[in-house]
Amino acid sequence: MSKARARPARRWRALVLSGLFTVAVVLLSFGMGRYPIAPGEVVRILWQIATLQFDPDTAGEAARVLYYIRLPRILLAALTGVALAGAGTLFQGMFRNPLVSPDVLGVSSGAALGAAIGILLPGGGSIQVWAFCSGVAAVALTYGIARASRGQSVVMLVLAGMVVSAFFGAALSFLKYVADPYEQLPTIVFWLMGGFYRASWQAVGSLLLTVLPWAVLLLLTSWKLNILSLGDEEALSLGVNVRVLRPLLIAAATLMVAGAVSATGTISWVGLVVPHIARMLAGADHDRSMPVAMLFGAGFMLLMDDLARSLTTAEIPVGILTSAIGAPFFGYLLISGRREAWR
Amino acid sequence: MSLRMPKVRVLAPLLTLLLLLPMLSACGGAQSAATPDQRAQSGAAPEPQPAAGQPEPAPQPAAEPEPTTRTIVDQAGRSVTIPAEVNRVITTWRPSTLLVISAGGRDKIAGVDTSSQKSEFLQKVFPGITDLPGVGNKKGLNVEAMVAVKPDVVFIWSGSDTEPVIQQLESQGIPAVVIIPESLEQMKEALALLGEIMGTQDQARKMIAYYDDTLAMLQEKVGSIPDEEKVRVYMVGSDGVFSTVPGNMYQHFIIESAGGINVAAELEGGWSEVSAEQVVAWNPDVMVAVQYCGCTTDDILSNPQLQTVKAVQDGRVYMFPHSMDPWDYPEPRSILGMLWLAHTLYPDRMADVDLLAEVDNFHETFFGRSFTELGGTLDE
Repeated sequence: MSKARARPARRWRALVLSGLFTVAVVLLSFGMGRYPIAPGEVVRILWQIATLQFDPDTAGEAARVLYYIRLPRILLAALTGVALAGAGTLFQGMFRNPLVSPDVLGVSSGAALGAAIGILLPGGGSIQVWAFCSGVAAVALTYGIARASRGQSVVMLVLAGMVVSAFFGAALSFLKYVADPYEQLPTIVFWLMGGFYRASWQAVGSLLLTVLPWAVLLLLTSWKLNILSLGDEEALSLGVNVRVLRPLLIAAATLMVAGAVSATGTISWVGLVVPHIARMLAGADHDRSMPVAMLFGAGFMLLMDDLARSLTTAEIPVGILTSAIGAPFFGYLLISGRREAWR
Repeated sequence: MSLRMPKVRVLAPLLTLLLLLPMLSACGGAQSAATPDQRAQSGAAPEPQPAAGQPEPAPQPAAEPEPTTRTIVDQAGRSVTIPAEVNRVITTWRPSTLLVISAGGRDKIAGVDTSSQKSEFLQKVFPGITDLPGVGNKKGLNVEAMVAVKPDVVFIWSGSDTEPVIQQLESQGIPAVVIIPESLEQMKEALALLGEIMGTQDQARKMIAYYDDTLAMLQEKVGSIPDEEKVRVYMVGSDGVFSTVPGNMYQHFIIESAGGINVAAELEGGWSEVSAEQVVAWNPDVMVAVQYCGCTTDDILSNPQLQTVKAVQDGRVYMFPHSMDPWDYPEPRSILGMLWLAHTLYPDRMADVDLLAEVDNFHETFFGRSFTELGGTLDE
């Protein structure tokens, strides 16, 4: 930590770098899509929207495409990136393990099961609500098991997360097995692969509620994550109330990820690898890497979705792209990049 | 660090409180977001339904001024307002493309899904299909590509994955009509609906009449056979010799219409795995394999586990026809699959039906060119 503190310039450089990256991707995203809109037209329409002159009744076709299809989708992808990267950074710090991803406590398997239930139940309410509540329930169960075990809590949490994930995964497999192979099974499979084609202003609204407050909370408390990552006893001796802080942060990350997963399906790899990239850029201090991870996560997610929606006429499930492009990119970073961030 | 210590004590409970508040509102938010039928889009997206919503200022050569609109009810029971005259339609998955063509709307298709474009049969009966703009497929539809086509109507399947697509299309003032052609009954409904929408009722009625007549003929010739004399059929499904058709699949209905008895009728679900012992115990008279089973008749005939089965002993093992795409899918041509199966199960009773002529005639009437002309063949 002291080593990182010695170079304050790096913090700003990393922040500016990831900020510029994200802004560039956002600009690019507005211009991309199967419906052709000239860049000048894009700027004009965005100005209309920004100055609240957008009127759906008189707007032209291009404006409607931009406002109802492209804009919500961009926001949804960026928010999802923030949620996954933020939660990933938190869990990797909290569990002192660079291999954990946001679903370590079972939120993704929970949400996946919930979505499958929502798809299978005849007229059974909303898939999103099922996914969200089931994701939260899975983590609550994980936490309950860990608490009841009275063991060393961090290890117990990870183990309990494995237990819950395995159980929910089995339940999901069972539902897939009984699902109708023509209609329901493909729906479940594609839902699980993740994608932002469900984007709408409503989806953006609810994701904003489930992500933004917690993202702010994570940013505000990220300096405490450094202490938490020293271990329980050290943290206690430094005056951090682990009993309160840990469940609070877990709850925050769970809500963020459950919100993101229920809006978009499971998207792998982002929550695992973006925190590493952020650490490479900003150093191991969570105070610095957390904002960089969130910014970079938003940009990365958005870029992947741009590819997903414009590479082919159909939609490529974005989870495929995040892994197919993110993994080699990360490999490249490992070879060429700095390694001291893990020391 | 120690200076910040007291802050934690105050912060933690405060933050816990903070946590609870948005959690409740978040759940509420998600709830309202998702109620699928209540797509009123509070404030953010006012419903642009009627013709007034059609964009005028933007350059838009194709759209002619529409004098009136009309309202139809689609197969999901939704009321949809569509232009009085429909000239440009988009189909979004293969059965819908086939139905639109057989209902006489081939020239109105302005955009089409990519799997229809890959279908061997569709490429033959509608060579222009590969030049049309693609709009995605069942794994994901591209709304922007659909908007760019400027369609009058989009035909779409029903499912949770199309709800957001329908909503986005509506935000662009494009009506989406849900069709559900999962059974012959529903296929007839779909044809009537498509004919009404596209103004091609005559052709659609012809197709419906063909279904009715053919089913009535099958019923008379083979449906009336007493159950104990009916041929017992084991159908080999998509996952190899030991996967079969349970009683709630479309292929079960094909077997029954052709006067056969599905030995696996008591099962439920999708393509179901069964054991070799079960097949031996069922001892079917005939085995029919779908073309995508990843197997051949030789595999079945030479399988040592199945040597005692009557179908194998009698050599009555067949592949379901698949000349230019399989005939057992819930698609318009499945009626020909029924005819073929009846012919195969009861060659004597069906002797006066010239199968090839029948198949030729069907293709000629509903897809413009006869089966033989298209290069189709029945012996495979």
